[in-house]
Amino acid sequence: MPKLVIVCVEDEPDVLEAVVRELEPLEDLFDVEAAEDAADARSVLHRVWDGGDEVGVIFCDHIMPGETGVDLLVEMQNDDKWRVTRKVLLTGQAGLDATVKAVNEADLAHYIAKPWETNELVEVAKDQMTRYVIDRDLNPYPYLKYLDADLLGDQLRRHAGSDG
Amino acid sequence: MSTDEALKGLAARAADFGREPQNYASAELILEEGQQNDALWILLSGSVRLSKRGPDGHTITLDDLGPGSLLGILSFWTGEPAFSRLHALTETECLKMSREQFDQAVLEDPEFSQWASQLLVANLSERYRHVVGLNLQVEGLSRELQEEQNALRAALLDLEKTRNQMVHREKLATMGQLLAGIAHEINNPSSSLMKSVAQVEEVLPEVLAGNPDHLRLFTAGQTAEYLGAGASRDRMAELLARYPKLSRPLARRLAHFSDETLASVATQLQAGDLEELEKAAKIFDLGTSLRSIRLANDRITRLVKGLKSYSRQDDVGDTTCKLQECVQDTLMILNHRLKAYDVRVSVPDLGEISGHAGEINQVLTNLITNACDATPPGKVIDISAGSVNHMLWLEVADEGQGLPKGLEEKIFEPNVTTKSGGGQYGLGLGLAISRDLIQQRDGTLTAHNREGGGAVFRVEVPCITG
Repeated sequence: MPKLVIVCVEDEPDVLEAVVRELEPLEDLFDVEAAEDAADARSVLHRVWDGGDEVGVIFCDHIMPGETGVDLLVEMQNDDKWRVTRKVLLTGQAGLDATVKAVNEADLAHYIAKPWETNELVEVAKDQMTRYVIDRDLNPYPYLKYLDADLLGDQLRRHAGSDG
Repeated sequence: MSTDEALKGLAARAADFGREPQNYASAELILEEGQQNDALWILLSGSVRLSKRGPDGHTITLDDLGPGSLLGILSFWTGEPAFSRLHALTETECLKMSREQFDQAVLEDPEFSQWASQLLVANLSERYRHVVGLNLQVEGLSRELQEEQNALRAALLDLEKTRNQMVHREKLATMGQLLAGIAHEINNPSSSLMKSVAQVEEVLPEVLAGNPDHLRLFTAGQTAEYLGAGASRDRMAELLARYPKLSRPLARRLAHFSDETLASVATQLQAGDLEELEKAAKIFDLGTSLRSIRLANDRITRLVKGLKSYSRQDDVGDTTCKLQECVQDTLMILNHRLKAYDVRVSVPDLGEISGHAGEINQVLTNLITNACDATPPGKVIDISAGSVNHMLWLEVADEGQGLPKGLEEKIFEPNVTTKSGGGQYGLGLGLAISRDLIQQRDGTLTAHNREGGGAVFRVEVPCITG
């Protein structure tokens, strides 16, 4: 059973910490990893991949020093290793062009405008992780505590025999 | 033989033709337009007005005729309805002849013939001259009209341009007031926040002093160095490997502890006393949070200061400012846009220039946002300044597509924009206004493409102090 990882990319240390803290309650089942820019995120992605684990969801800021978040998401979409990763933009100021690019070229799964509501990140993370489990056709039972049973539907029935 | 002689002869002989001269009172109608006419009038004295109804019903004066004029010529000879209306302008004396009387007079009296043809030729040539004169007048008038139209069109364009610029300036002024207002509004809560933070910073150590371990953890948190995401990930992984009992969130907090602070909780780590470790992490976090609040508030204070000096409204007219400070203020305001670029700033303190900081900021904002619009994220935007011979220069160079060929000057004209669509919009006024502002300070604003791609905008203004 692979470990499912949530990666957060944000250049403001305080904001990065806030994002991670909000997602920490999920950490008994999913690992949360923090990265401070696109290059840092890339090294996290590779480390997770090399460890045989999977990045299920990425929360990514757009405007950052160096490469933009949308470019990172597009790059992931074009790489077999991370095409299936659910991509979420968490930003205060992605313009229309960048957002359109993220939707069209990175198959953006969700857009969260800063500042976000309490619990919004956790809810989005659960929802997107459920969709990841469905897309990858993973056995949902080990992660069921944080997944959306309604969405899972017959995935639950199909895997019921295995170890449910 | 002159017209006068002919006239005198005719008048003298009027009786011979069986006619008394006919008199008309001032304003009396002689012949109505459109009427059938079978008579010819020879005007002996006074004056008569020729007029015609125009298409819109107004009466247009065609000509005023004096003694010697023949009246009713056209309708008399062509038999068509009267072409124009005739009425007396003054007391008028005419010799009115019917067709028969005229024919008879021509037949019987060679002198009459002579006088009549003399008058006819004089009349026709007079009328011909009149028509030519009118044509010339019309020609002149339509040329004048054309010129006036052109002038009006130019004035309209000019007015439109001025209005646009005024609207734009008014907008900027309003924005400046808004900024200053916002800065003021933020300043108050920010100062009160600062006071509260100082209070907490002073009191909290006293409260914690009861437990030296707690006080140490708190102080360590306050002074902890920021590790960066990569380093804290590594440290967290290290802790998790060494102490498998730790949860990831707890390990993440402990990762911020320095080696020394970690050593102070070594016993709890070894024993896996998660409860005590959580508590230690919380007290440590109290310190880091307090410092974060102070740093965040410092940032707000700097931002407010930047906003205030950026939007300075007070000093209008002949003032001076420091280019270096203007660049710093503008960069702070534009920080959110510039984050995506590799911005290289090389602007030394070059002394003061003549100009209003608000205006210089406006020009800088315009040039720098233009550079952002033109440059793909991640590329270089270069802002540099220097001075040569009492002239101070500043260049904003981007790595965009450069200026379209042939538009290097045109972009400074009002209402010319190269930005379109994609949610971006350009009024096309920014550069026109910027150049205007710089020229008011005896400076220049020029643009050129640089080798290897990208555009350079260069401002030159006189330096006041060295």
